[in-house]
Amino acid sequence: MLCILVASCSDAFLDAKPDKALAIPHTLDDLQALLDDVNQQINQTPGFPELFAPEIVVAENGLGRENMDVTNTYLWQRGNLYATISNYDWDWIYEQVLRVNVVLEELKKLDGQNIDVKRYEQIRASASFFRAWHLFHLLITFSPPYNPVTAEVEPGIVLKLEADINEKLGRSSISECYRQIIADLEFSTTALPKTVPVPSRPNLAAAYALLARVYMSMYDYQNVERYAELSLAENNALMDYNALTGRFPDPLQNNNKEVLFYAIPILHAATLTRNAMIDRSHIGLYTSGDLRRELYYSVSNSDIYKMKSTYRGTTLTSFSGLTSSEMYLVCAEAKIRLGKVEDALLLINRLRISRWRTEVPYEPLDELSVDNLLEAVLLERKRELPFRGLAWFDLRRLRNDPQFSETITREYNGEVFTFGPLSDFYHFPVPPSEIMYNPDI
Amino acid sequence: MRNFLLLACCWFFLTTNAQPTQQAMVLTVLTNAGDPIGNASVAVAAMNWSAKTDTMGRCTIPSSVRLPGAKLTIAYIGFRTQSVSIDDITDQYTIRLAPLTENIEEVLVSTGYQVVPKERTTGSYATVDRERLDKVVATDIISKIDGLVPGMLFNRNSTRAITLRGQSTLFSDSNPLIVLDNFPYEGDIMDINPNDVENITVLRDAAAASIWGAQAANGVIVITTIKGKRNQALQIDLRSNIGIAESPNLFYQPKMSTASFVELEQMLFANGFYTATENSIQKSPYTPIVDLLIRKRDDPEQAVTIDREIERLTSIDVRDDLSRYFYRPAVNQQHALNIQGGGERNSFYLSLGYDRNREELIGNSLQRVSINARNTLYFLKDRIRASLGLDLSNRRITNPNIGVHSLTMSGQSKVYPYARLVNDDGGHARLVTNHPFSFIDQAQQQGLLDWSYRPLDEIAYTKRGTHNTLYRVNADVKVKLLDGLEADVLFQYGNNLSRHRNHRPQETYYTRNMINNLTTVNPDGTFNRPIPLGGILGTTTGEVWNYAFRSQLNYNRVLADEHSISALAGFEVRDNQSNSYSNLLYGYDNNLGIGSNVDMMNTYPRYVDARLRERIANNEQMLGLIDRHRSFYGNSSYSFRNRYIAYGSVRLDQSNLFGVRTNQKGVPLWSVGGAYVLSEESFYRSTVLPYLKLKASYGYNGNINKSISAFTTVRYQGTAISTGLPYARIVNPPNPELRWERVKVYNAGLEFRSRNNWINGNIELYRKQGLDLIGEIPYAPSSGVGTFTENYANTKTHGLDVQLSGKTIGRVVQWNSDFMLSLVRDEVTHYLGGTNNFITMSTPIVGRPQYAVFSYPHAGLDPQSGNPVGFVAEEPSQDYAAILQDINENNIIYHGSERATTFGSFRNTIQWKGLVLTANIVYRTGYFYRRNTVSFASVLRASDQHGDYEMRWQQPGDEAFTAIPSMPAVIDANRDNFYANTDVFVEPGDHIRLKDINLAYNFPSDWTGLARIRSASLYLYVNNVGVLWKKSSVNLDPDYPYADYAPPRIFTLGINIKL
Repeated sequence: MLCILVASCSDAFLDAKPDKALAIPHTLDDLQALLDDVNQQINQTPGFPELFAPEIVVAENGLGRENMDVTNTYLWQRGNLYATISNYDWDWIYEQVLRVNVVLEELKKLDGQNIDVKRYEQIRASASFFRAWHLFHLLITFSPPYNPVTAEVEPGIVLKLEADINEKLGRSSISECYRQIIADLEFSTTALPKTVPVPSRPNLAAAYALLARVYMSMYDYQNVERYAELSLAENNALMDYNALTGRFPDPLQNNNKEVLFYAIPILHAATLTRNAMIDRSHIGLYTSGDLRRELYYSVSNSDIYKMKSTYRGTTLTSFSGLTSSEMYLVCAEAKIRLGKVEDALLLINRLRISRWRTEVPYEPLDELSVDNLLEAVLLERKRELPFRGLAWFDLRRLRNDPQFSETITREYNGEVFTFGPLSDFYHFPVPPSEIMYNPDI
Repeated sequence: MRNFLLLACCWFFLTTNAQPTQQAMVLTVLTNAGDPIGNASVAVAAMNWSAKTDTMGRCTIPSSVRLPGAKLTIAYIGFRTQSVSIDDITDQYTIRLAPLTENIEEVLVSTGYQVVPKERTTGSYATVDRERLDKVVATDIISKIDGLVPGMLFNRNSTRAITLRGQSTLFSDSNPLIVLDNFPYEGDIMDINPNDVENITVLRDAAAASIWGAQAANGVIVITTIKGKRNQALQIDLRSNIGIAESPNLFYQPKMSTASFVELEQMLFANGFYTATENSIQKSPYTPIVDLLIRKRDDPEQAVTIDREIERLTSIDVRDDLSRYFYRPAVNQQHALNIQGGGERNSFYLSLGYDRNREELIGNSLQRVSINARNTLYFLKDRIRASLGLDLSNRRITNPNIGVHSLTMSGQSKVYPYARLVNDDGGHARLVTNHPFSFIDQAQQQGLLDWSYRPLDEIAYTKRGTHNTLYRVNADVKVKLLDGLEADVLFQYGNNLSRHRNHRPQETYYTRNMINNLTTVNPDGTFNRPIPLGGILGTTTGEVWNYAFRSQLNYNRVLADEHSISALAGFEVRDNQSNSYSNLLYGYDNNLGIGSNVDMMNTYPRYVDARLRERIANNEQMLGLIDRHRSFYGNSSYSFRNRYIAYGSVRLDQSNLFGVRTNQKGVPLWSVGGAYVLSEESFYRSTVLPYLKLKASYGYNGNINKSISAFTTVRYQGTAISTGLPYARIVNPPNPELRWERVKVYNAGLEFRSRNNWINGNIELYRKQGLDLIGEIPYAPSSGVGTFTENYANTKTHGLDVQLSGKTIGRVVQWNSDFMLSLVRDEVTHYLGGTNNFITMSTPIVGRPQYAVFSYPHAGLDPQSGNPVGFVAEEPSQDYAAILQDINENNIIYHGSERATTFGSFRNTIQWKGLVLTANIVYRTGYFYRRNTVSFASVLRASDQHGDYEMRWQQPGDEAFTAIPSMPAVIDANRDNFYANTDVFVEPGDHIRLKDINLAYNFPSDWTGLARIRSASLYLYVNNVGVLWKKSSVNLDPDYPYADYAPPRIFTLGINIKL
């Protein structure tokens, strides 16, 4: 009378998954799928720093519909910044850190089993890259700019390296954070592939490029040069802007060969940025032969310039990943600071000519004074890199430079707001939700 | 068999009788109501003769038995035995037996595993019989028991809709388990025809419910459908009713006047609030008033005409058009026919039901056809009993109208108050929705499709609906094995197929908007349409099916007339699975039934601005769920001389919970109970309370939560269109400490009956402890999660349930009364989370009820600015962010529970001749709710329109008579959050409500006799009659403080005919 249904007598009956789409990650496919969550998940960067772009100008009353955090960030009101207890940049980026830590821990469990070793190592290298990517962006958003004198003692960010959510951690020092990030990146370079099916997955060139950026924020120009060169050795392609028809192609369809790694900022400021006017003086930086002015900006009948197309390609938001074009300028700047002027000129000119209208004769840059060349490369960054997620990065690293630090003035509804080296807003405050629930912070 | 022999005997006697002058006669035995009594015993003691009546109540009395002066006795259980002199009896004699007044109709409780007389139980059961169910008119069966079960509270505001004796879980499913015909029912309640329900038993404590184990923590509602009775003549029952509801009252919630709203828009316009919208690249919409203000600014010559137009709009209130054209009085029809009957060896029941509801939203309706058949066969002298049940339900929902939210302009939360649905010329009016009128008019001039949204047209052209087909097969075979031992095997298969179809032809705004959105105009004037002309068809098909199997051994034995043992043990498995699939077709031609291929890979520029690009939505989705249970259970009960009763039950539940170690997949649960029937004692001589029983029980119920697991779990989301690669997301990080929820339940009670059953009652005291309850705790975001679901709290509930029923049997007037009182007190006894976050008011506090109402302390309004004043470190302050951060469990104000702590009902039935009046009064006290108020942050975006705006502080001195703050100059979410959560807006929920009234007239038996029907009655039923008293002075129904309108009264006229 009892075990009539044989099927139900076995434990297999109770092993069926309650939801087909659920899985306990235990295959390399599962772990790779976790790292492939591209849509505004693992391939993203903090969104509030976008509001520090010096070239955007919000029109009269243009902030009317925005949230308090966006408004206060745009107007540099750091004291009254958070409308609620959360900062979604902090929250969502740490979610990605958890995701990566879960992958790394599950990978350890698979160690020694019968699996595809090469793929295993690649996934582990990718996970390391992603962790470094996210920890680095958290570090440069939420802790003060690097100061070699105080970096060992100044608090950085919470350095989460384990998936255990009950781990009680305070903030590690800035130096320690940098050490971890660099260790993760160097480890990733041991097994990242040279080419990947989609740029949402990191490759070797991307890891080198990120290392170059990291060292740049630490003013270690020797390492900047080293890694930028390594990255360019893997991928030094440049698109000829003459061949582009009106807008930039979709990087995820592998149509933009300059993209080393795809990422976009969290979209808090996206509406404001796409509706904002571009400062006239910024437009003035482009000369008549420069195709970037036509491709990046649209101009209305009343001579107002706005964002037109970015490396994001398919829709109108900034792009915040890694590109070879950026590496040209990074490498050039490092070389200039190290005195290697000719090499730098070669790189800058190669970049500029790919942006030059063929009908207009190109006049190569030939300045040989280091100071003037430094100014030239920084100007070239301003021309090449708007909407590439680098405005905040540059403001921070150049803060203490007497010559190149930047002061921005914004006029809004009759009031004037200024941001400069004496401002206190070079990093975002740790959000109240973290302070409330983390006694160790 | 016996009947046949008897009849043969009767006939034999008849034909061989040697006395030709005396004829055999036919005796018919009926009830007072005229129903035939089959199997009644008819005897002539003096002649040592007895017989039984047949199914028509007839028996032939042989002439040989007609001894002059002998007495003929007619007897049947439950009726008063009658004796007549045989001399008084004519050839065709009818005798009616009267029911025994002393006889208490045995109350049976159904647990879903067995049917037991209530007297023999030790647990807490509440029953609702057919008579009480029939007095209430509703489309679904669960609504019918509202107010009829002690301890059961229908929480109308909440997703946790029904709680039984408080709630013992915090976030797992808190609805009671519904058991239909012995198996758990997880389908839609709307698929059960309420007219098929015989009775309902509610299992409330451990002894009652632990037989259901891990699903029983919230109580169990056992529904038993009609099966038919043996030896019963064919009965036909016809019921029909039609109900008309009042039209919804749209003026229920306080709302800002149109004039105030227009003034607000003018003020915002002057401050430049709409500049960003005007210049937005996606052409965001603005209201007609803003449109007029823009035109006035750009063309000052037109100022006078424009001002007049603004004036005209100010006089409109959209609720007038909504009442006339968007809502209508709902009309519900219900028709049911059922046939039942039975012979010696079978019983059957067949029913047909038809419901048709015209909903209160225009365009929406519901239609349901249900067919049920039950047949039970008895073989081998009742050694084998086999029954088969078939249920079919076909339900069609038509709902093109998705409610008032469809009228809202994008960016606002309510439709602008001067909107019209119908123009003065009678044509359907258009509303601003995604883009301003000026933009769409210009687009139309360029040749794009009409981009206007006309809500009434939208409802008329959209063909949206769901078709649900349910069928269930139930089989049950009981075999008597040995003396007292019976085997019972049950099987059920159910299948529910649901097809949702939403066809929006090109005439609908939805489709024209989708097409226009991606249309580009080529230089030569032709159009590029990535979404082609034609309709859009969305379909979702879902199927839910379940198998259930149970095998059980039942043992019932009485030894030496003193010891009564009953036990059962069994094993059951259940397998529930579901699949669903969605699809979207563009360029759909309904006549040909084909769609077009569209490119869902690439992005296309939007018409509003070519820099914005979008991909065409896919909407394909597949979902598959499997839910499996396997259980072993048993219970046994022993009673000595019907006086001392002991009971125990045990159950092991296993389930395919995901991500749990195999040895944790099961939960063992048990209970014990005892009862002492004091009235059976020899020393008990009370005649006032001839029946008195004391009972107590203790045990564990459980709660399995399927949404979480101990291991890391990820969910595959699909394939990303942008990369072509599959991607997954973490559902939860690992939690090896995860345990299942358990509820420890103690129950003690008293049951009594008074003489003549004038009063009977049930009083119970209970205590429940919820252990290892699962819920969410906030975490520091650097952990990677904002909140985490884990075992985090314990709760304690104790309460009292009282049920008293009384009746009088007068000659002329009869009165029945049911009184129910429940007291529930609950509190959180342990909470794992550290700091309590009161900014969102959502954290439990130890020592307070799980659902409690708190508020922030405040110091009124600032006399200069009208700003609300709070406290920081006990000093008055207007720094709202700091005020909110300063709140902790010591300075927050506690009001009371959010759920009624004392509640019940008082239901009375008065019968006079053929008229029967029933009224049910329901009361709830000891709770609070927080009402809504204006949110200035939303007002400053022209989004909120709450009526408290009219009462805002406007100048110094106003603080003396209003508590609503001034409108601030800038948006300050913290300020809004602060004052909305002060005690100004906390209201007591205490109220007494007249729930329903039923006035019926039973046609007298002479009339019905003429028409050859057994009985007929006509009734008028009114539901949602009204609130008789409420403690709060605010004009809101305490059970519906947030609804757009309180549920309208429904007047139903019905007729029941029994043939």
